[in-house]
Formats: sequence, C-alpha cells, structure tokens
Amino acid sequence: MSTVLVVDDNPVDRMAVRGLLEKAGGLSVRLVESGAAALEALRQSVPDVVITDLVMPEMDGFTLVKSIVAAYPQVPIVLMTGFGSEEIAVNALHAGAASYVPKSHLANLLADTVFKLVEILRQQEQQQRLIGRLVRQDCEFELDSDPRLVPSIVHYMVRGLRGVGHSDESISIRVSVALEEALNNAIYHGNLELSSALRELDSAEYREIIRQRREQSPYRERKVYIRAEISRDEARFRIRDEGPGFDPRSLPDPTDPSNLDQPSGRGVMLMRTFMDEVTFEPRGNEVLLVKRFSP
Amino acid sequence: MSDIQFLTVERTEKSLVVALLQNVGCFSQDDFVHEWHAALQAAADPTVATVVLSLRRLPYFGSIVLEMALQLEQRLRARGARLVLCHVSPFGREILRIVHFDRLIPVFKTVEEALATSTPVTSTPVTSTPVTSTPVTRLRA
Repeated sequence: MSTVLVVDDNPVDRMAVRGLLEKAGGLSVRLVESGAAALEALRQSVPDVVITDLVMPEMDGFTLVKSIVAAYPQVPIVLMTGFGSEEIAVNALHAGAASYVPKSHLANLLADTVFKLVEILRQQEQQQRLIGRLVRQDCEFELDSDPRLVPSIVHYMVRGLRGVGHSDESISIRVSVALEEALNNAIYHGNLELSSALRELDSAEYREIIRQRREQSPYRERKVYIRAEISRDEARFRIRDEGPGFDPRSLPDPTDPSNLDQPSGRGVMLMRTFMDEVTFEPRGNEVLLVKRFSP
Repeated sequence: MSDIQFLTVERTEKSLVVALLQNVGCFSQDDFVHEWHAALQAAADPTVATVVLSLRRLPYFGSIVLEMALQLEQRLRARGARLVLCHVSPFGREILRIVHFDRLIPVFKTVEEALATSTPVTSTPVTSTPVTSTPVTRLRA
C-alpha cells in the first residue's frame, strides 16, 4: 500500500483530503497540521507522496517544499492551490514540487494525480533494479564532424559507466576529460585537419575556417566513429577519424618549460593521465582509451 | 543567437573579472566565439592591469579552456598585464598541475583574493620563455 502524507492547517480540509484518498483505495493516509509537523513525520517515516497546502502559518508551502526537496529529493510533492496562492505555487514548482491540484478540483483530480506519481515511482524503482543488474554495454556512434555533439556523447558514455555501477564522480570526470579530448582531436585535428597553431588566429577567423572546412570536400564527408565497450571491469573507447593521421611522437612535451606556451600536446597528455591505456594506431587516426576498474 | 551564455565580464577599476559559466565543449560555437572575442577586446584595454578568470562553474575543463587561458595570458603578458585564475575546483587544480599551468598562471581561491593580493595560492609562476613556433604540419590538441 502506498503512503501519503497530507499537510494542511485547516482540519476540515485535512479530513476532506483523507476522505477522497481513502475512497480511491490503496493509499495509507497520514495527516499533519503544519510544515514543522510534516518534517518531523518525514524524519520518522518517509512516505511515497506528500500533499501540501500552500498558505499555512509559520512555514508556508514553498518553504516546506524546499526543505523536503533538499532532504528527500525522491519524494514527489503535490501542491493544493487556492485563490491567492498562485505565486507561492509557481515558486514551489520551480523549487521541485512535482504537480499541483486546484483546491476547487480536488475531488476530480487529487487521487488520480497521486496514483500517477506512485506509478512513476514504481517504474523508476523497477528501472533502478534492472539497471543494477546491467553488466555490460556496447554501443557505436557514427558522427559528422560537429563539435557540438561532443558534450552529449561524453554525457552518454558517463551514463553508461554509471549504468554498470561506476558512479564515482572522480572516475566520471576523468573519463569525461579524456573522451572530450579524444573526440575534439578526431574532429578538429583529424577530420578537419586544423592544427593547434591555427587557434592563435583571431577566434572569428578560426571559426570561419572551421565553417568552411565543414562544407568542403573532403572534410565534410568525413565521420568520427566511436565504439564503446563498458563493463564492470573496464571501459574501452575506440575513436577513429577519417583524416590523414599523425605521428603521436611528433607532439612536443607540453610540460617542458620551454613548451609551456605552445598550443599543442595538452589534450593527449590529459588523455594519458586520466586513462589507464591510450594507444594510437600506427596511422594515427584511431585511438583506444581504456579505463580499468578494480573489483 | 541562443539563450546560452558562456561567460560574464565585469570591469573594476584596473581589473577585469571574466567568469566562465559553463564548460566550452567546442571552440567554434558561434555564441561562445562572440562572447570570447568581446572578453578579449575588453582585456585589451591598456588600463586593465589584471584579468581574473573565474572557473567557479566548471567542475572540470580540458585543453580548450586551457588554450583560452593561454591565449589570454599571452596577450596580457605582451603588454605587461597579467592573468590570474580563481575558484578552481580541486580537479581543475589537478589539471593545471598536470600541464604545469600552475607555473604559468597564478591561482587564487576567490576573486576578492585575486584582486587584493599578488601572492598566488598554489605556486609562484615562472618567467615564461618567448613563444617559438614549431614546424609541425599537424598538431594534435
């Protein structure tokens, strides 16, 4: 049975809400008369859903929503809105409330709204249970040379890591940096054949060169191929561009004091620092990044 | 133009505070280039002695942000002004250390500290050598 905590300073309204929810069936309803009492009730037992009035003495609905969202972000909150509480309702929705029902429509809408939220919660729980059993994810992408896709791809891969249980923030950040570097490398230096030295140009000029090359043959036909194999033991990312390749040994050491001002080499260095293995294919247009995870 | 804003620029008496609002995924994004160009122009004002680059909103960054910082630092250094960084995340500091940028650009905890003191938090910057070009036809990032 799903549990609902109802917060309202008006005893008549409280009882009316209890009546509506219990009549709908399948819900265990608990009533409290204030925001403070609601927070105390949450400390004792976390309900599936909170329903709250907005205009209450001492702690209004907006303040209560902020407190609940901060401490119990998984608990959806339904607002009961009435004439004069519109501004508080908008603020509370921005603060994280899940839904609202006008007090004049409680009889028609309140129970359905609660059941919908309970169903969403149930599906999320099942999804979490399923994801917790995921052991491996493989995927492949074929991208145009559009750097705007890089953050999305990186985000997707980090989600893949989390999906198989690697939720450590420092791992996510390290892999994000390495992937971002490898993908930008493939697009800018691989497919578009832009040297880092070109970035010394005025930024508008640099952007114009990028724009032109993305429209010219052979650059525009080139793709970036990404293959990811993510498991609980390791993550392998193979990134290939269709440019002419390069010799990784030709890169200057960016940490050499005499090279500190040089525009190139830092990306590959960050890749090598944050991944356990970084291997360029002999032609230089494909790189394998490997991150290993200790059991 | 989209609604995305990449940076803010704030002028004080002899300083400029540039705050990056999000990680720059690509150097070619129109809005970003426009904003960065405006920041570079503001930094070129000869009365600006110090530019503070705030990275408060960036949990991490890569070579693109590093190159932006380098580009700005070189321009400022050429006319006797300086670039300092502030609000660098622990991971950001690690990146700066790995590429030895902590030797090139002073890092302060806050904007206020950067404006008030000339003592860097992490280390003393080395005197940089002049830029020399390397004849490599294709340089990777």
